[in-house]
Amino acid sequence: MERQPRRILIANRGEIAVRVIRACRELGIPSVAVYSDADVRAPHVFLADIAVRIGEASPAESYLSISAILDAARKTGADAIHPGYGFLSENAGFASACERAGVTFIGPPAAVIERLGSKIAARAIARQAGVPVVPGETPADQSAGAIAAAARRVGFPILLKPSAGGGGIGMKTIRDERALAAGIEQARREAIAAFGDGTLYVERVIERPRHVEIQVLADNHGDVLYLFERECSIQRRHQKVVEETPSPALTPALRRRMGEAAVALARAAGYRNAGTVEFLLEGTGDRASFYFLEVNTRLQVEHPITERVTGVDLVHAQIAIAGGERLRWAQDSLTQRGHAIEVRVYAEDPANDDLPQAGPLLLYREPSMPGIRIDSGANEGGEVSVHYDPLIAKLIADGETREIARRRAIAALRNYPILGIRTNISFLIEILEHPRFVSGDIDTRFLDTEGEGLRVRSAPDVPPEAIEVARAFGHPKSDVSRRSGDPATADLSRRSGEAAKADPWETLRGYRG
Amino acid sequence: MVETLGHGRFLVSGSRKPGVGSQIAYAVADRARTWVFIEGHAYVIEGDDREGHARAHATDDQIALSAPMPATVVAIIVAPGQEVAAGDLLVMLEAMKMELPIRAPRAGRVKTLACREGELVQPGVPLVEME
Repeated sequence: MERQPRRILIANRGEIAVRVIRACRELGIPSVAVYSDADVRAPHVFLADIAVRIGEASPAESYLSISAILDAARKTGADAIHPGYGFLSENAGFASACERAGVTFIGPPAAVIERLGSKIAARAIARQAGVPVVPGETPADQSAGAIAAAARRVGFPILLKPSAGGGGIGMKTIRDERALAAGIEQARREAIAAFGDGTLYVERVIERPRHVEIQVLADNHGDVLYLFERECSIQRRHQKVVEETPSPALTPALRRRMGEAAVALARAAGYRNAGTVEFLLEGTGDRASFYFLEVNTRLQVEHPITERVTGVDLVHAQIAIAGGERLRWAQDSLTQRGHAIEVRVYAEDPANDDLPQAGPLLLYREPSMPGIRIDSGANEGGEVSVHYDPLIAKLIADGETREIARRRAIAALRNYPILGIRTNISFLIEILEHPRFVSGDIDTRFLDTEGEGLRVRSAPDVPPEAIEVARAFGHPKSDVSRRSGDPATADLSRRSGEAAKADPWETLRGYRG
Repeated sequence: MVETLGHGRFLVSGSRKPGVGSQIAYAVADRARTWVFIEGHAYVIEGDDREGHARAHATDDQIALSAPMPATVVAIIVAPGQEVAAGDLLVMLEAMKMELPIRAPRAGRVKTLACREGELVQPGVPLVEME
């Protein structure tokens, strides 16, 4: 396609569908939403110019159904598809089905998705481009003995990963020889169960790493740019929770080295459109080492922080690139202005193993303040469905300095009431107020080492003011009994969430939602 | 002092916290419960304890563990007859793109396993029985 798309179908839901539909409107391009039976009243359905039902609530029947989505594109005359993130966004089969159907896939070509989607091929490309990789291998012989031998070659501690995997599912850290045999067996079982493929990848664990990724843009004319870094070290179970840019760990020289490495890798892969090259960073400053992790061949959840500091709208850029336009920036003209922090507001219970929560948004009010952007796919009276991921919204704060952005994020979270369902809002505030976060001394183990204290502080007893408010509201009784959420979640929380302690019934923290 | 502002909003003022003037709080009814939001914290105020007995099918010597929501069994970590300590991972579920660990609430022995890896399980249906 060498012209702007006539009509764009957004093959996604939730906040990212809303985000892309808005970009289409800003560019004057009609948009087509698709929705499942669970999303009939979802915001992305109302916002788009046209909305098409594509199937039942289960993702396999709707948002993952290539034929249903291409049917919708054909019926509505959409000549381009934006896949968002998740679902089909990194599915090479979908990208090539779009190509065959004569629809522009707004992303890299299918062959590039395929190559970079394989950890083995992606590492080979990185090596070829001169980009350092974490010591590791996928043994050709996948027998338990050969994997154990590979573990010894790579050196403990090691991480066993499903080769076909993602999102942290099925990863096992093994610290020494004694845990090896059982670990291999378990990782294999989980890999087969989760991905239908038991191939394992053996990797050295980098101790106390930071997760720092580089945003790249590549056009169809051979130009590749980097839009600096995002630090995403605040994660739990390999799911990001807080992201920021610039990274407190980078110096200008290190930033340039990482940016140039990402560009070299993107060139070597024949990359097109927006992508993210993820690195592990060991140490800080000019002497730090970085190791290539993987390439995300799509728009990232945390892309808005890059937009806030560079002034580049990444979705507009994606659409322009897909339309055959040249990149309109020179590398030297791009700068980072100020600081941006994103926090992910999840429907989950931090006090109970981050158990996802589904239910109604009885009251939902987004704060509006200087320096705050909220990307959400939720509204009051809507609900968080059990069928999809529990992200309610992303709150992005920016400011001239990291400290101002941090304080703005806290102020906005304190004024972001979401009721009817538990969220991680108070937990996010505790993270942002933690001395280690304040000083920028973070690594990917932050929530493992500090999480317990944060969780306790994020769930205080009910203060008298809350009871007064309930009374003023006309609550039937003024007495406060123990906390109890949805019967189903209360059930598990008492059994498993608190189970690390001696007696789950004794250690319940009451009184909070 | 609490003043009703309407549309679920309340003005909370007073001298409870020196230096803190007033705050906007929010409240909403959820059957017999009231949810209240103040300064980044959400609280559930119960009218009665009618849901406080969710552990009904856990007796002193036997516990049945179930999924909190429709979920897929990703991995079964233990086998029937196995002794486990409090907090041990028994079964890993996945739902809403998140891992949901089912852990032992206390030390004991796994009596039965009523699920298979890859199976879609429903809430309330026992997956693991412990004794």
